[in-house]
Formats: sequence, C-alpha cells, structure tokens
Amino acid sequence: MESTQNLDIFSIVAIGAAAMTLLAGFIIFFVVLYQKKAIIQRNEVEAIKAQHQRELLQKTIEVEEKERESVAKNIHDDLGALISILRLNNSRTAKNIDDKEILKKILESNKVILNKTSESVRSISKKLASPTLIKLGFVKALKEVCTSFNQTGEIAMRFDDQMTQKFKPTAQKASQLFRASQEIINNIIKHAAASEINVQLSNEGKRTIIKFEHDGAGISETDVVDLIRQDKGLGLTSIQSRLSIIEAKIEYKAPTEINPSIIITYYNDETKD
Amino acid sequence: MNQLFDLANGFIATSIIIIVIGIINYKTLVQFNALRVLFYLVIISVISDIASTYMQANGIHNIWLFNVYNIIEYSLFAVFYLTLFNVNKSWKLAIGIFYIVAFGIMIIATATQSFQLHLNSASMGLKSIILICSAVFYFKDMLSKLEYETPWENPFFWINSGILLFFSGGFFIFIFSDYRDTTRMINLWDIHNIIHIIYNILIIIGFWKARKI
Repeated sequence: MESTQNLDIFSIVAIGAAAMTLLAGFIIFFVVLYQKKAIIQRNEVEAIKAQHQRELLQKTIEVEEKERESVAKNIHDDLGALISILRLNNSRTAKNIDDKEILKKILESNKVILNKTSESVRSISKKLASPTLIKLGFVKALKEVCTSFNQTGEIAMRFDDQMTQKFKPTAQKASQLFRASQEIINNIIKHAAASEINVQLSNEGKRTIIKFEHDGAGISETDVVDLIRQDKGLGLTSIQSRLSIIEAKIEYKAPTEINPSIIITYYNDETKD
Repeated sequence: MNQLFDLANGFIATSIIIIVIGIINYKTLVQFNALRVLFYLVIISVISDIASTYMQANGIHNIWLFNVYNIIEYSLFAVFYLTLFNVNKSWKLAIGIFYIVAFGIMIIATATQSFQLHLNSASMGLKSIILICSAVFYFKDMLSKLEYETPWENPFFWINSGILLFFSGGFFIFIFSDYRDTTRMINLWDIHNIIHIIYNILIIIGFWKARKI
C-alpha cells in the first residue's frame, strides 16, 4: 500500500517536474523567438523612420531654399531699388552742388526713400521672425495673425483661446508651431477658398490642441499623402517637417456633414500621454 | 546513493566554477549589483552544500540548514530581482512590499513547522512560485526594452533562464520535499541535482558573458 502511494507521489512529482521544465523551456524558446522577431521589426521601423526623416530633411532644405529665395527677392526688389535711387540722388547732389533748390528736392526725396527703406527692412525682418512671437509668445502671435487677416475684410477669422493652462513652449518650438500654423492658414485661404476660419486653442492634460476649422473645401489624410507623393504639396511637407521636429501631430479631417478642420496636437514637456 | 552523491558533488563543483569565474570577473561583477548579489548567493550556497554534505556524512541533522538556506536564498533572489527590474519607483515599491510580505509568510511557515526535522515544503513552494513569476516578469521587461540585438548577448538572459528552469523543474520536488526519506524520492532529488547543474552552467555562461559588457 505504502509502495503504491510512494509510486503515485513519485509519478506526480516526476511528471510535474518534467512538465514544468518543458513549460520553462517553452517560455525561454518563446522569448528567444519573440526577441528575434521584435528586433527585426524594430530595425525595419527604424529604417522607415530614418528614410522618412531623410525625406523630411530634404523637403525642409527645399522649403528653406525657397524662403531664402523669397527674402533675396524682397531685398533685391525693394531695398535694391531704393538704394539705386539713393545712389542716383547722390550723383545728382554732386552735379548740382551749387543749386540749393535741387539739393532741397534731393534731400526731401532721400528722406522719403530712407523712410521706405526702414519700412522695407522692418517688413523683411517681420517675415523672417515675428516680433510678437519673440516678445509676447505663440498665443499672442497667432491671435495677431488672425486679427490681421480679419482686418482685411476678405475673410472672417475668429480666434478662440480656451486654454486653461499657460502655454509656454521654448522659442524654437514656438517658432516651428507658429510657422506651421501660418502655413495652414495660408493654405486654407489659398486652396480651400474659405470665407470663414475659426482658430481654436485648447488643452487636454499635457496636450495642447490647435484646431483650424473652416467652411471651405476640406482635405483628408489620403489627399495629403497623395499630394506629397505627387510632389505637389511642398507647403504640406513643410508643415509636416516643422511639426515632426517638435514631435507634434497633425490630423486632416474632411467630413461631409460638418466643416473640415486641421488639428495640431502638441505634447507639452515632450511627454506623450 | 552513490549517484546522488556524485550529482551533489557535480553541482557543488559547478558552483565552485561560478565562484572562480566570479573572482576572475570581480571588477565587472562589482559594476552590476544584481550580479554581485548572485555571486554572494553562490558562495553561501556552496558553503551550505559542503556543510550539509559533511553533516550528512557524520550523521548530524542537517535539515535546519536547508530551511535557513531556503530563506537566505529567497532573500538574496528578491534583492537580485529588485536590483534587476528596470521599473519606476512605485512599481519597485509594490514589488518590494510583495517580496517582504512573502518573506514574512515564509518565516511564519518555517517557524510553525518542525524546523529541525522537516523541510518546509510550503515556503519552498512559495519561493519557487515567486521566483518563477519574477523570472517571467524579467523576460517581459527584457522584451519590452530590447537592449540587446540577440538574447545571447545579455548575461541576465542566461541567469534568468537558469532561475526559471531550476525553480520550475524543482517546483514539484520542493512541494513534496518532505517525502525525501523514501527510496523513490531520493531518485527525484537526483532530478533536482541535474537541474541544479544545468542552472549552474547557465549562471556560468551569464557570468562569463558579463565580462563583455
């Protein structure tokens, strides 16, 4: 009887030990297999990300090149012309050094040209960096953009600040966010033929949300992908590249029943929740 | 009986190899608290195994030594995993409290049973379950972080595999450890000794791999 009981215990323990060892072996085997697959997958994702980053960088360089060209054009057309007039006035002064009347006219003309030059310099520098953005921050700068567009009377633009917390991104991040927002507004005006744009700023936990809702023709995520693929969306790529630098997200929504919108989600303190 | 003696010597011998590699790699071990704790555990294990073999050979009761070693082993493994887990503070605190509560239960279970005459199968079983769970948790942690290109490069993969195999394979043996005085069960302790040798080999590989980090 005792021997049968011992045999039973022996069998239970031996089978149990074998089963548990097999189970442990299976877990280890699974870990090895899973890690291999996970590493391959991670490498693939990293390669795709790196490729995407390279493309974004390329597009960023293109956008920067275009911006430089535009600044150069402004300097050449505005400042260049004004400086040429000043140069001409200078030679006229030399030729008419004894004629007080002409000198007086040249002086007045120079005064006007210098004022224009100063205005032009201010305008170019504003294009390069918004003084409001630097001095008063992103929210005020965006509000200023909305107000300026609204004042033209061509489009009805509303700025709705629903922030319950202070929004203070770093200067570099604020600049990227501001440029992307400007580009979005420009795109809506230029391509969506909207007559009304509502810019709404709100926060959800650690996320800041900037929503651009308009009554024009909407653009969906698929449209954006197609345009970028066809190399027609330099502006869209520029937005994407600026936002990817600050790890913000952009969504394009074009539903049929309500107004289309473009939503930027910015993660404060680089924390994604 | 001879076979048991040989296997017991086998795992003592492999444990000594771990100590030798540990001494050679001591500079590396010092950098990893988890490895250092494991190294100390192996030293205690060898001392305990030699002492128990000597006591058995001289007809001295050695069961109390197994019971004491069981608690020391659990405590050091708890410290090992607490050091190894790369989790946030609240998780670490929760795991720490869990280990301490289990430690308390093991002490009570050992103290309430005949400490000198019986191996405390309840506390050995509890220890095995906790360490199996800890080993699986480490694998989960390892897979989520993917710090190494292959698992072979990670010394803790080998060590953790050893712990998982040892405590999984030994689980039923530990639970029925009280029956060790029957002829059949001595054969089962042979299985335990074989698993112990495999465990030691995996620890040796882990300690050896740690040199390259």
